[in-house]
Amino acid sequence: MFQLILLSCFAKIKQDRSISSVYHILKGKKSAQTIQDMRLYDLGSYFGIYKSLNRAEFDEEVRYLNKVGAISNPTDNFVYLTNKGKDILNSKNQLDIDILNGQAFEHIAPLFEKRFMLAIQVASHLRLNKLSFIPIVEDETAQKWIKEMMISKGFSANLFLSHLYDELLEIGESLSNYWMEIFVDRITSDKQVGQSIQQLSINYNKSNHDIHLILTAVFHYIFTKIEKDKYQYKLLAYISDGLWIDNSLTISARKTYEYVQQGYTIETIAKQRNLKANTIYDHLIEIAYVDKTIKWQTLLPDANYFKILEAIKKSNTGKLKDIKQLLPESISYFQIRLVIALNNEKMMG
Amino acid sequence: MKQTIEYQLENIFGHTSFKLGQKEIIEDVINGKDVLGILPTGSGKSVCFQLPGLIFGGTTIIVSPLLSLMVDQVKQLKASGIKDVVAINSMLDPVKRAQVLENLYKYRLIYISPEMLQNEFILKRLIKLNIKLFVIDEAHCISQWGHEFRPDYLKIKDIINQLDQPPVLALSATATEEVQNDILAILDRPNMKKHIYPIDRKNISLVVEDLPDRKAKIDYLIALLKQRKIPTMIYFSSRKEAEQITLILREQLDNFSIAYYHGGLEQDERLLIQQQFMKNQLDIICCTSAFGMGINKSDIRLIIHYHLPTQLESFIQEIGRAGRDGEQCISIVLYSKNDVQIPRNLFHSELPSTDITSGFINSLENLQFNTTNEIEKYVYDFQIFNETQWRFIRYHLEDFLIIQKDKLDISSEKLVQFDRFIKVKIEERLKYKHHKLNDLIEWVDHSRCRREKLYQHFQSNYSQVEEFCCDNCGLALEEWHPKENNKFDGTSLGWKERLRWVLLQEKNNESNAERNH
Repeated sequence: MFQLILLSCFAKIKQDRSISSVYHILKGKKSAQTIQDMRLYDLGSYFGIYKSLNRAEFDEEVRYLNKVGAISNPTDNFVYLTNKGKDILNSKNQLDIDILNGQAFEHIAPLFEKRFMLAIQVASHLRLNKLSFIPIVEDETAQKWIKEMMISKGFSANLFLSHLYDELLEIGESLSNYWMEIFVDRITSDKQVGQSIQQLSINYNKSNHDIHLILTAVFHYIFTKIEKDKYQYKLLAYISDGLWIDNSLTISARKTYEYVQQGYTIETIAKQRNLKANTIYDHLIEIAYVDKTIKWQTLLPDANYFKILEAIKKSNTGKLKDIKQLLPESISYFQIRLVIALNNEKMMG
Repeated sequence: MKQTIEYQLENIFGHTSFKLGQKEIIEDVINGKDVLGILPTGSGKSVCFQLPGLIFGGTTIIVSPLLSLMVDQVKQLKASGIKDVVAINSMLDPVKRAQVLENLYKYRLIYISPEMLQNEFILKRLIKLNIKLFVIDEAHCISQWGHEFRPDYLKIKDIINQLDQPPVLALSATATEEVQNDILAILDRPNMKKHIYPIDRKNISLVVEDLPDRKAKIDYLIALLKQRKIPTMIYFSSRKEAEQITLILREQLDNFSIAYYHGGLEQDERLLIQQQFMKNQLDIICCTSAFGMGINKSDIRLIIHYHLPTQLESFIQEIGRAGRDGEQCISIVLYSKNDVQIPRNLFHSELPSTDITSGFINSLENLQFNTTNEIEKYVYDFQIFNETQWRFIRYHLEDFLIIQKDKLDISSEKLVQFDRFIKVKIEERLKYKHHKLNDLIEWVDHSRCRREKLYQHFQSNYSQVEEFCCDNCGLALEEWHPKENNKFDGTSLGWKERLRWVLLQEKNNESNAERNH
């Protein structure tokens, strides 16, 4: 699954962007550049699906894909898919990876998983009146959430478990048995202690990466279901309560956005927040993707706006460097990125 | 009072009676005496301070050298319902740490690492507390002749003196008489009451198997393990070998559940493996010494050393995890002559080489450092020493007053002296470690009773056992029939049945089945 995702990413970025940009997408890096890449190359489904990935593991996987002849040599940091790579990508069932929707769920998934796992452990012990056990999730915010749930009015471990069982059973029916075996193995209750990623990898003869991504995909599928009908999946929706915040902006950019709306200049915002002006410019790009009504006229004259728009259309590659070459020296990279951001939807058309 | 502490024991920990030595130690501690307690591993050392700590009111400080040990104890206390306990160590994130320090007075038991105790800011906070008992766990770390000497332990005395002299309780499971005397001298408490209990355990049989090579070891393991499915630990000195043998055993032993555990695993993954073993969901665990500290499993039956440990002290500690329920259990060392090289290499990674140390001393003179932090950063950035090595060097730099509390005092003269001194010191340490290893090898090669030989360094006598003593006394493994692990159920079901089982929905199942009839 991991290899298929990598191939799919490399196919989408063509050779416009380096393999590092794919790494940042998978990690869910909240930089203006990565968010722009995600939007420009339609990589939203993979955004932030693998936050614990490290660079050495990523590079190893890329080298492997080259070794088996699926991609070109990655030494110069840019790769393309060979015919073999394209065949692999086309022959495999894409449905599996289509379940992923990182852009929508990457911020919910980690917290939800912690609550979910801990809640099952706690509820199953409570149901059997066993009050002494060591929690498998050490995260304090998750523990606090569980405590509040347990003391809330009308909470019953019995009902919790039976509703959860019904909902998971229903959702699991439409996923492959194979995935659900792995998913159920991962759960800890009074009856069993969950398997580690490493153990699942050995038991199911899959890489650690694949196990992680399969578990992530099951969770994403659960989120899709909750999103569609939160009344049908009451208990799962309850576990996800409060996690559905608008995540289209980074926290820092959101702050900048507030200041911009209050009419502050970039210099003042930078000074106020003790940040470099360039960081604020990056925030503005990020904001421009989300809010097209942002007042950009102070940042670039109308005439330049249309010049840049033309250059974007003329350039075939869409690469910033190529666009810049078609324009007068006085126009900055920031201004080009701003126009790309403002016209994002039209260009994706 | 007697009634009270027995009542408290049952009330807090659910034990109906004290184990050997616990009561005597606790009574002395409650009466305000300083106590040195030597108790065998697995005898419930921690109850000796947890119980008085909880009875006293006020705060009990516990200095503990090992992060995992601290964390495990805190977790276990919390699981048994005692929530006002905390561990202060370098792993605590800064926000959380600030919050803990702000509310220190709320905790009854405070576990702290010796390094954190050196922190001025933390110390100032501790001084303000009403400290009723000061505990030094693993107290052999105080002594240079202890097997895990930690220089920071030497400074504990000054700290106790700043704390309004609470009673001191020093505990260890492995301290020779030499080390015991050192503890009293360094703490400057010559009148400490000694409670020394024999550390030999009658229910642990001792076996050494001479095996020429890796293949022989693997064949032996498979033949041995196949016969009995019992809670088993196999100790390795290399992470990689622990992983590889796990894979081989998994292939060869059907119906066994086997996993590995070492310091390289992520924290939450470690927690899962540990709990699987506790619940007998795992039969065999292949581990490094990172596993076992603070593991409170009472029915471990078999402890195998795939590699030689580095000295008798750690060996005794590791086999001490077996049979805490008092049932018969067995320790087996797989020994091949070439293995001796492994601990020797380890010694060289624990101590800096004299060449590198000289080079480092040169750069101290040339690079004009202004603060200790600058030196430390230099050491880590250029990977001059690893953590253990740097701890050793740093301690001696402090001892020479080259590194002082808030300044450095570097002069060529001093550095020349230091260079000469540290070379001698390193040689001395290496020699000492080799000497300890030789003691162990002597024991391995011993041809008469292993029990007698093993404990002779630690106590004057030992309890003789009739049956199942050691291989040299005619122990026959075939005659050993321990109770086997119950088969862990659930694994053979499909996911739907298993989900039902995991979420405790079997009842519905039964009633459905009834309805269908």
